Amino acid sequence: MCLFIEGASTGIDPHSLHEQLAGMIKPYYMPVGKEEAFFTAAYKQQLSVLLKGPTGVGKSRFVEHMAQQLGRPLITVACHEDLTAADLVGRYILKGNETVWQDGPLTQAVKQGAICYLDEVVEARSDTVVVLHPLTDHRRELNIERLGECLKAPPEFMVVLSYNPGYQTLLKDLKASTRQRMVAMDFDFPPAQVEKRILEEIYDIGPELTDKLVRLAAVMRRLDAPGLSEVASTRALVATGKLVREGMSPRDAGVAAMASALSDDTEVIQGLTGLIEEYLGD
Amino acid sequence: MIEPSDSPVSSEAPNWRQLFTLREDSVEPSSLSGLAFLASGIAGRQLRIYLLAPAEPSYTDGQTIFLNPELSTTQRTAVAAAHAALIDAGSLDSQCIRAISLRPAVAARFFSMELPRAVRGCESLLPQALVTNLPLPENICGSVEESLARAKDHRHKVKPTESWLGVLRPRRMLRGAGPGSANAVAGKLDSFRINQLEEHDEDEDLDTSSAKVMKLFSSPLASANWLTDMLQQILGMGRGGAGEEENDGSGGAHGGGSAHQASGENLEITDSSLQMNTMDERLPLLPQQTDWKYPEWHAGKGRYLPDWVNVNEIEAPAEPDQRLEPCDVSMHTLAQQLFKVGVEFENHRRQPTGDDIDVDALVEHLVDRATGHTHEENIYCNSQRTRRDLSAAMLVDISRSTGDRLADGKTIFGQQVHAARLISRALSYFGDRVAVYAFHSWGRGITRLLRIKGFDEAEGALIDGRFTGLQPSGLTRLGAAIRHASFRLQQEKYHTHRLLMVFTDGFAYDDEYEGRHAEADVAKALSEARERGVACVCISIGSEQRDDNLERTFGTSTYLHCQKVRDLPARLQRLINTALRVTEKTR
Repeated sequence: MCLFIEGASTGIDPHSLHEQLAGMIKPYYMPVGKEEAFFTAAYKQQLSVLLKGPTGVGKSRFVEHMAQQLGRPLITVACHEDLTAADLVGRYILKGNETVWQDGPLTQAVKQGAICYLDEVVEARSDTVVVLHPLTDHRRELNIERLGECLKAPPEFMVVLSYNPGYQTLLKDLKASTRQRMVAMDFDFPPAQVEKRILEEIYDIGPELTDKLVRLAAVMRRLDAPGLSEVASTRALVATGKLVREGMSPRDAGVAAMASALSDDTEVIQGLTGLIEEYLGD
Repeated sequence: MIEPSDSPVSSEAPNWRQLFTLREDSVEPSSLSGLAFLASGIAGRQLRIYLLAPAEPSYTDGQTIFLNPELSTTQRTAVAAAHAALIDAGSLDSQCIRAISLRPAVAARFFSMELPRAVRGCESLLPQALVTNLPLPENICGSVEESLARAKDHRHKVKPTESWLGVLRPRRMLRGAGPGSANAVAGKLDSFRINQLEEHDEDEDLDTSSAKVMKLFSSPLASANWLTDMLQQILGMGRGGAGEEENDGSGGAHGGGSAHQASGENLEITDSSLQMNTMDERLPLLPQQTDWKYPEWHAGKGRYLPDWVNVNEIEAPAEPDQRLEPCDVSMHTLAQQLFKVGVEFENHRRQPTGDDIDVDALVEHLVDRATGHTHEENIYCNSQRTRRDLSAAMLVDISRSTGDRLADGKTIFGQQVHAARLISRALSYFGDRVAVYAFHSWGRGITRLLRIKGFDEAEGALIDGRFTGLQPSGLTRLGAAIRHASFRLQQEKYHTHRLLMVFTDGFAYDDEYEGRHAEADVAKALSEARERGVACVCISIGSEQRDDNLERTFGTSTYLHCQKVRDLPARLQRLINTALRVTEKTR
C-alpha cells in the first residue's frame, strides 16, 4: 500500500498540526476560472468533490492549495487496485501478544476533520470505494465494522476524489452510486496565458523558453498520433524547464521530458523528437 | 525573410527506375516525421509529408503535404506549417475549393490571401522563429468568404505569395478530401503508388510538369522485390479501379479516366498486367514465398475437391500516416465487454476470504504471530475467473463490395476494419494472443490473406499503419480464408480457447463460388474448424438487414448483425461466450 499522509499521522495532536501548517510554505496554484469559489462553496455545504482531468494539469496541486486556503489538514491516499476497505478504515495489528487497532487514513481524516483526498480513485476496487458512501451523503458517518463503531464526521471533514477519464481507466469506471454523491469539477490544460504565467512566475523559467514550450505544448495537445495516449502536460513543461536550468540544452530536455517519457514506440518518439526540434532546436 | 537556399537534394532529372528507389540518403527521416507531427498538430488531424521531384512546387491535397525537395530546412518547416494552417483554417473546405477549381488565376489569388490569414489564425501554435520569418502582408482578410470574394474580383490587387511557399491545387484537394478516396486509386497494395507516378497532372494549368511522387518511408514490401509489388499493386487496381473512377467523377472536376493515363514504360507494365488479370492460369506466377493449397467441399458430388484453392499469406503493407474512417465506439466500451471473454478459473492464494485455507499462509501466519511480526490474515485460497486464456484471430473481408457507401457516408469496409482494430487492441491489452488478417480473392487461383497483425507481433504504430493501409478490392472466397485462419489458430498451443471472428458484409461470392456451393463449403469449413477446437463467430456491420445465408451457415447464436459499430459492444460478450461454449461441447 502506498500512502502519502500530509500534515497528519497517528500520534500527532491535530491542533499542533494546524500550527505546523501555518508555518508551511504555501503551495502555489494559479486559478484558471472559478474553481476556488466552487471548491469553497462545496466545502461550506459539506459536499464531496470529484476532480476530473488529464494527468499533470494540477488537480493534486489544487487540492493542496485549497486545503491550505481553508486551513484544513490534507490526507492523501494514492489509490491502487489492491487497496482494500481495511486499508482506508483501519485494522487490528498484532503488537507483541496483543492486538492493537490502527486507524486507516480515512478514519484519521474523519477524526481530525481533515480533507481526505483519494487520488486516481478509479484505480481502487469499487467495493473499496463503497465505504465512502455513508460518509458522502446526508449521514456523514463512517461505520467501522470491526470495532462496532460509527464515527460522526465533523462539518470540516471533506472527501475529494480525482481521476483521469482518459486512456488508462480502460476497464475502470466509478460506480454510478458513487458518482451521484459527488459534485464534479473538470480540469483541463490551462490556457496559454495562464500556463505561461505558471512557468514564469512559479517555476521561474525564462520568458523566451516559456513561449517556446507553451507553443510546443499547444501543438502536441492537438496531435492525434497512433501510439500516443498521453500528451505534454504542464508538469512535463515544468520538467523541461527544470532540466534546462541545470544546463541541459532545451532540445535534449524536451526530448527527455516530452518524447521518450510519453511513448515507447520508436516511430512516435522519432516524430515527437522532430517536432520538439522545430520548437526548441537551436 | 527566408531566402531560397541551395538544394540539399541532388537535382538531376529522375529516371524511371529512380522513382522506385527511396532516396533515404537525401533526407533525414527524423526531420520529416517531425514535420509530419508538426503539420498534424497544427491541422488537428493526421497529415503526411512527401517529397516531390525537384522543381515541383509544394502543395497539399488535404491529407498529405507535398514538399519541394529543394527547399531549405527552415523553408520546409514553414511550408509544412503554412499548408497545415490552411487546412486548419478551413480554407481548403470543399465548398471554397469547388468555387475556384476551374479558375487557376483565382485559385492563385485566393491562396495568396488565405495563406497569411491561416498563419495568423494559428500563430500561437507555431514556432516563434517561423512566424517572424514568414513574409506575411499587412492587411489580411477576416474570413474565407472575404478572401474568396476578393480573389474573384480582378480589380482588387493581390500581392502574390513568394513562390517557394508553394501553390494551391484545387482539384487535387477535391480528390484527396473524401474518406476512402485517399489518393485516388483503390486496391493499392504498397506504398510507392504507381498510380501517382503515372498520374496525369490535372492541375496542369497551374504547373505543367508532371507529378512524380517519391514516397519517403519504405514499406517492408518495397524493399523485397519491386516487380512483385508492382504486379500485386496492379492486380488490386484492376478490381478496384471502377469504383474509384466514379468517385473521381463525382468530384466533378475532370474525366474519370485521366487518373489512369499512363506514359512511357509504366503504360506497358499496366497493359501486360491487365492481361494477366484476366488469365487465372498465369496468376500463380507471382513469386510468393508462402503458398498453401486447401480443398473445397463440393456439395453436389458430396466430396472434397483436393488442393482446389491457392491461398497465399503476405504481410499487409503499412501506411502509417493514413487515418481510419471514424466510428462511433471507443476501445474502452469494447474492452469492458471483452474483459469477461475467454477467462478461466485461477487459484488465488493468500486471500482475506475464500473457500479453502491456504496452509502455507496459515503456518506462516501462526509463526509470525508467535514471534509478533504480522498483522496479515490472508490465509485463504480463492478461485476466481481471472486467468486470460484466449487466442483470437480476426478475418476481415476486404472484397470490393465492402467499399460500398452506407447512408451516412461511411463504408462497410471502414467500419469493419475499425471494429477489428479496436477489438485487436482491447484483446492485446489484456495480454491475449491476437492475429488479424484481411482477405480477398480472385478466383480459386488466388485467395490472399493480408497479415495485419501476426500472433507474435506487438501492438504499435506499425500495426496501426497496416490497418490504415487496407483498400477494398477483389471478391470473397470465404471457405478458404476460414480454413487458413483456422489453421493458423490451431498452431497456437498456448491457450484453451481459440476464437475466429469473421467480419464480412454478405455472403461469399467468387468465380465459380456462389449460391449453394459456397454455402455448403463455408459450412464445411466452419465445422472443420469447430471440430478442431476453434470457435467461430461472424459479425456483419453496416448492412440494412441480417443476411439469411450467413445466419444459416454460422448459426443464429454465433452470427451478429449490427447496423452501427455502436451496437457491437453490448452484444459481443454474449456472442463470443456462446461460440466458445458450443465449441467446448463439440470437443
